[in-house]
Amino acid sequence: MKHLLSLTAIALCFCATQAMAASDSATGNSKAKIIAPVTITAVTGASGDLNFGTMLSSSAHVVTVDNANGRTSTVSSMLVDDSANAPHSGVFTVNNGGSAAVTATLALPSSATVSNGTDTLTVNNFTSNFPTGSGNINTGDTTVMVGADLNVTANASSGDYTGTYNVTLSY
Amino acid sequence: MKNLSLLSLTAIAACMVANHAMAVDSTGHGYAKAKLVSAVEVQSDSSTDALNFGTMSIGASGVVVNHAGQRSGGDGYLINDGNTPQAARIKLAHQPDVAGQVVTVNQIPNTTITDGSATIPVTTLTPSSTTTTLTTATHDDFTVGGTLGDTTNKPGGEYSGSFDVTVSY
Repeated sequence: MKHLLSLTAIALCFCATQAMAASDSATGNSKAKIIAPVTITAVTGASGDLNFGTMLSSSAHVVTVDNANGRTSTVSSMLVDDSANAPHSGVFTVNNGGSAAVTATLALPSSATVSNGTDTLTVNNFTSNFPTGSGNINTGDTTVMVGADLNVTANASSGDYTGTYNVTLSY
Repeated sequence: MKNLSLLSLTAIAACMVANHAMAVDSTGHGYAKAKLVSAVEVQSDSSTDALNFGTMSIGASGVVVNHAGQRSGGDGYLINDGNTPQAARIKLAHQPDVAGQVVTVNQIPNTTITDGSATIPVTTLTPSSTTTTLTTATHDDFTVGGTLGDTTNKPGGEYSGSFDVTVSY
């Protein structure tokens, strides 16, 4: 019996040794900078669509809507003064939800199209009132106006032409 | 263990730097539109739609044909015969797609009617309405009246001429 008790004591001691591992510790540091998103959203409808208005297509011409709601044509007699379909710049709302201004660039499409059934017209030479290169976006909402050229081909079919275009804000 | 932890932190830091260099994009989806319409043509048939002051004796002055075709003035020199006075009829020919479009008649410039080398002025050319809202019909019309100048000392004859009507829309 004495011998047996001794073995048990040795076994317990060993177990205790196993439970006491050597330890070391270090405190790591981590960090992150979280910024509020800046979003750009199209204002839709009559107050925000890029609308070239009403026009004739008796001859080819280029209709320009600038970024301040102005409209011209290379053949001015092709423009129709239609109060029910007034020309308008495209309007986007840029929202900076953070607490500080953000520097950003605005990328405009090189071209887009508007179509009516199978008939398509090209829209290009996009412009905006956002600073060329980069600009600061203050906190809160900022309005960005977009203009472009509509290339009307001679004798293009009458009708309502619609299309979409994307602008991308990088910050 | 320490070395391993340090390597791990370094990797995380590098990742954060890389993220910072990547720009964040936000894209707005805009809409563009345009309306193409057919042209409106201003038409007038010289044989049936002319502004006709009718027949009068030499010496008539200030003969007026209003836009309803009624003749007045002339100081008693007017002659009623088969040459019935009438206002000019101007036709705005168009396709239905321009229905609702408002057309404005620009001021009509003075003109003359002539017979050989003899000339009589025609002034105050006045449309029945300065604006016309186009309908879904194939044409919408308006009329034009005017005033004939003094015929005193003019040779007798049949005088004719034309005037220009320009509309804007």
